[in-house]
Amino acid sequence: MRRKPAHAQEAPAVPRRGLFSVPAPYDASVFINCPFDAAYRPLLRAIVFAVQDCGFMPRCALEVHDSGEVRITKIMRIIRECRHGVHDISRVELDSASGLPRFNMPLELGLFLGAREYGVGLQTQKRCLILDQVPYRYQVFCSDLAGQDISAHGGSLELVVTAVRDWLAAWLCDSGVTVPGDAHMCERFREFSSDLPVLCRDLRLEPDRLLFAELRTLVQEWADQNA
Amino acid sequence: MSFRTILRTGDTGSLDRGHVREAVIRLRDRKRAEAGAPPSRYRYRPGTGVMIARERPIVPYGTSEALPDGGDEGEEP
Repeated sequence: MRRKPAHAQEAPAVPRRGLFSVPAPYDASVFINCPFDAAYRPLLRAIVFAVQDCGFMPRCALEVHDSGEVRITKIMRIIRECRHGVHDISRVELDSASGLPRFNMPLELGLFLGAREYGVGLQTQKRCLILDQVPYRYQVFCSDLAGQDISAHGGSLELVVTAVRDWLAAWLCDSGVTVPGDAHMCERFREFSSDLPVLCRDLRLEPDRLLFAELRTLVQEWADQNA
Repeated sequence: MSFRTILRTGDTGSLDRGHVREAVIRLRDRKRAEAGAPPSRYRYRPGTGVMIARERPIVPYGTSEALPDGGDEGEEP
């Protein structure tokens, strides 16, 4: 299994300003568009783990904390730098505080699909995985997606890992790269999940307050050392 | 080296990879020791506390025995 696939081409994006700015390769970058609340955190970990364990670079809007960059500009930049996108549109409940639904995930999915449709060059080769909690529910709240193949995870960590793994593995197969099966990856994710609190204690971090970049680093190192 | 630095190979700020890698290796080796499995090939460089990768044992062609590890580098300080 190759953790850092050589199939990746150089990113077409303009490097971000700042020290040591080296964007991840376009083909290896996976944009994660999902809820960022505490309830969803275990599922986000599962997505990040599966993406990393397949040898890709997980990325999302939370990876940069820069008040100088407009949020939507940052999201569009990251989308432009990613060939792949995982979009979980399952958060359709009304926000308990405002009583209003959250539209961020459908908006970012629309940006991603728009980049593929109206972009040029490598942008037209974008591919995405759309997740929801319940099968066919999206046909009610987002009927324009009725023609898409959407995977339902039911809130299960194993189903999320499996969906992401299968989606990336299918693309890797075309490049002659194989990854272990979903049962093996789910077992590794369970092991990582049990190791995470220990690692966080060792590194003086709080598991429930990890930054996205911290989680990604922990997953990357864990996957590398437990290959 | 500070605990939290700008990631050298990425485009975002993150944890220092050296610290994270050492923590992961420590935990992995502890679990392997508890399970009775052989430890990893990673050791501390003497006197520095820096993790290094020890080379694989040299196995002469046609034999199954590894040559003895003569150096003391790689032992925990």
